Amino acid sequence: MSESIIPYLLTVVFVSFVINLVIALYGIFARPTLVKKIIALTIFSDSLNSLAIFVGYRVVSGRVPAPPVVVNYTNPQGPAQLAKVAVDPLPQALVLTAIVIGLAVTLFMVKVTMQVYRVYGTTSVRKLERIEHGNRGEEDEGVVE
Amino acid sequence: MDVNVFVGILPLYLIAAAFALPVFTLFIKDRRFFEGYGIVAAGIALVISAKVFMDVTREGIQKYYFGGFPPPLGIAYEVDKMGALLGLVASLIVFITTVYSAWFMRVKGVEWYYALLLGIEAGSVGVLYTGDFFNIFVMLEVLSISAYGLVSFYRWRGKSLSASIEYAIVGSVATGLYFLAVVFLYGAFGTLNLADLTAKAMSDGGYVNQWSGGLFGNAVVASAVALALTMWTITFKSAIFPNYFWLPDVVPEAPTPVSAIFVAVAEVLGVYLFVRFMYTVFSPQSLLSGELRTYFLVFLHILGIVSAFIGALVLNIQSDAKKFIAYSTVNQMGFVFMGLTLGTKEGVVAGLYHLLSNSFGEALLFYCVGVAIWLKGRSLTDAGVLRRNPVIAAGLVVGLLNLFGLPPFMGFFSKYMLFKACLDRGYIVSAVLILVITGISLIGYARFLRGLLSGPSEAVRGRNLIVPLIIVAFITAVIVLLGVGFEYVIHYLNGVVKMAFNSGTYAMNGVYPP
Repeated sequence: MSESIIPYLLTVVFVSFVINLVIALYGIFARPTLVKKIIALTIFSDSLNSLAIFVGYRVVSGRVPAPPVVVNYTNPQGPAQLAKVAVDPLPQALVLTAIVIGLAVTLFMVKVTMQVYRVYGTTSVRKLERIEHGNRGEEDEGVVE
Repeated sequence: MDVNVFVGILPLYLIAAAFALPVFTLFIKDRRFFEGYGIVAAGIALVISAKVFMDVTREGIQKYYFGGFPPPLGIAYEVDKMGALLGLVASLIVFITTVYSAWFMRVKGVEWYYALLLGIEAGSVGVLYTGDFFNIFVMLEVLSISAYGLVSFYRWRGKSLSASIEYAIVGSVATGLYFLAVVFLYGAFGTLNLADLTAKAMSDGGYVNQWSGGLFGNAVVASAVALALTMWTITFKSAIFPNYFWLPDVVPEAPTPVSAIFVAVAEVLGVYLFVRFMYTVFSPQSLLSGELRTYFLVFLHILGIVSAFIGALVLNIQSDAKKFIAYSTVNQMGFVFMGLTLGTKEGVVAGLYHLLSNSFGEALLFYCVGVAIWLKGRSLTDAGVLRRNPVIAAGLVVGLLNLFGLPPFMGFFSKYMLFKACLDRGYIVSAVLILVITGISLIGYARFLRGLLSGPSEAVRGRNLIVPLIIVAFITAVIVLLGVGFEYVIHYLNGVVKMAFNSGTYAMNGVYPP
């Protein structure tokens, strides 16, 4: 019973990640509001990160895989034995890096969105387009002190 | 393990220099200090990259292992001739741009500007030097975040802000997809090291590393999916057809010196990653050798043609000089990708040569247009004001003729090489299309020339032009020299491409024990 249900559940998880990615991409490109775009972008990167963790997971013949932490220091064979039953720690390290980068990018985008709201009074890209199309006049670059 | 310290120190030094700069704002308020800091920091980086370039030319592939871990374990940096050459070009352009910025930027807050400029250089040099494809992701993000910040540098202008947020959203999706590709490759190959990946892809499971093991699952499907995802990032970075739309929105809204970096440095990375992934890692001898690889190349070849077409057509109706240069870049990068996707050494040589012509040519145009913006404005007819300074006007003429492709400049020889490479490969239609597209773009370049020659020459503002004059003269000299001495350049580029195609050497140099 459990032998056949584990691959089934893992497939369900994988498919839900992919569906999540597609929905997030729809949100990024189709929603007009910048705030919703940013929310969709965080969903997108979180789905990617979960997928990366998922790739590091492995089924160890009917057992729950161990976390990749060495606890038995005294046994010299400890790390070698752990490597046989533990999940892969490297995708977790990659995801950690990706999360930190994602945090920086999200903060930056939130800040720019606030600034857009201050200048234009809206965060809808459709309205932004209309406003920018309206005042087409030559805006000089800020070269004058 | 013989390592070259300069390889490892350059990206770290640039990041340290970028982060240290804001600290000085606590006790120094003088703009000139930050200008000097930027110029000196970029100058040191230029010297180091020149040293790496000479070492690679003299002794072959240079390596550096962070933390001393043997290669597949830690982060390894591995520089071959292509990385060293493009790294030298990138740091040269960034150095020139910092000097130009010291003349151009007269706004408050330049300290953040120079910090972000050094961040862009750190990211691009990191991508070009690294031998670890997760590190490529990190360095792409370093580059991207600095670039998003620089686009929104004029934070009181609504257009800059909306261009920046658009670029940031689409750019994060592109780098996110590259991260997905990294995960797929790691899942199939069990490694993050490019040399290790190359060795495993070449031997198709025959090579088993003592640390990273062999292949897992269906490696062919995984690498095809990963490559398809990487292509999104590459076409985004190089502004190739479906992903070119950000460039004409972003480049005109960024400060002009930064626009020069966008078209001259950021574009280079897409080309580098393309050659690295399609020819070094997944070479014709690798597990991805069959029809799939051919489909990839033909598909991207068509995208290159479409991109060159769109660039040339839209070029003709522009009235804003910065938007004009942006579409000109789309046009030229389409040509570069037409060469790169031929699958022959000759094609890649032509593509790289055209890339150099594009980098120097478009940067030169931006430096000239920046002067026109200072003196008057940014429409094509405002370029007439440059007639007051014959050297800068001559520089603009050289830049335009180079991009259009007239002898004796680089653009002519690179388009000629491209034409010949297409014919040798048997792509007659592509060869004819190069001529047709060049003919279409003639209207646009001629309009810019007319604006320069017949536009009103009265300046609105006065300015001392000695700094841009020296810069424009220098880049003009580079374009003429690299065009006149094209036999030597082609000879060198042949060596570069030979090394990039030699997956065996790349893999042997990066895997420990060798």
